[in-house]
Amino acid sequence: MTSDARERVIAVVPGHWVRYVRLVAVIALTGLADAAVFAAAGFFALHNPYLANGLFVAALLLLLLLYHWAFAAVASASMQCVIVTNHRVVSYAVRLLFYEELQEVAFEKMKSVDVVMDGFWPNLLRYGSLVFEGKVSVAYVPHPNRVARLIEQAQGLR
Amino acid sequence: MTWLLLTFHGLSLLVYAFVVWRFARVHRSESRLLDELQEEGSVPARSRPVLFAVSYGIMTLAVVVSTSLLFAFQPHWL
Repeated sequence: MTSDARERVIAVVPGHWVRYVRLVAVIALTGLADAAVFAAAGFFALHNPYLANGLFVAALLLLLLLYHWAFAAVASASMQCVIVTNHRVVSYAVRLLFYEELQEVAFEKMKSVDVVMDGFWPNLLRYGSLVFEGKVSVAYVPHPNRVARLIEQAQGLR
Repeated sequence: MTWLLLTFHGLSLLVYAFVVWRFARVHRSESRLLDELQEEGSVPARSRPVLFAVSYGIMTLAVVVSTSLLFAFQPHWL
């Protein structure tokens, strides 16, 4: 067995930080809404205790859903990565409670790597998608042109 | 209301344990994948289940304590 025949990792590319932005915005807005419900419960406590109790319970339930979902979602987003070896490209994505996705494209089957940086923000913040063979797509890749070049170099290392 | 609050805390701890267990499992399978591709130790650890469990645990405790205090200092809710 030659050293080139043995598979080895060339690079592990984690997803771009922009994948957290929408998540953090949703968490912040929902957190504010939850704080408002808690405040409303306090406001009505003296005048209408039944309404205050109902609002307190609703705020508790929202808090329970919100912060557990927030931690699970951030942990899931942090695990997204693209692994480039000298034989293939592996895209790894996880949603902790729902699915675990592993997409592999072997260099034998790969003829092209397309880079898609469509829109204002992807071009400003330097992120985009990699599309392999027009089928497998990986989103939120930082500096996708650089990663595509790395993959082409890795194809040469086979 | 006290029972409701206790149920809320119990549920919180259960969900915490479940999410940490899932994260540890997913992390293990990711580590296995990297180990299959390359010898162990040559790829830096990207995921940190302990850090996740500790920060998530602190947040869970903070929520339990803060909601209990909120409840305790509003006696007309009792």
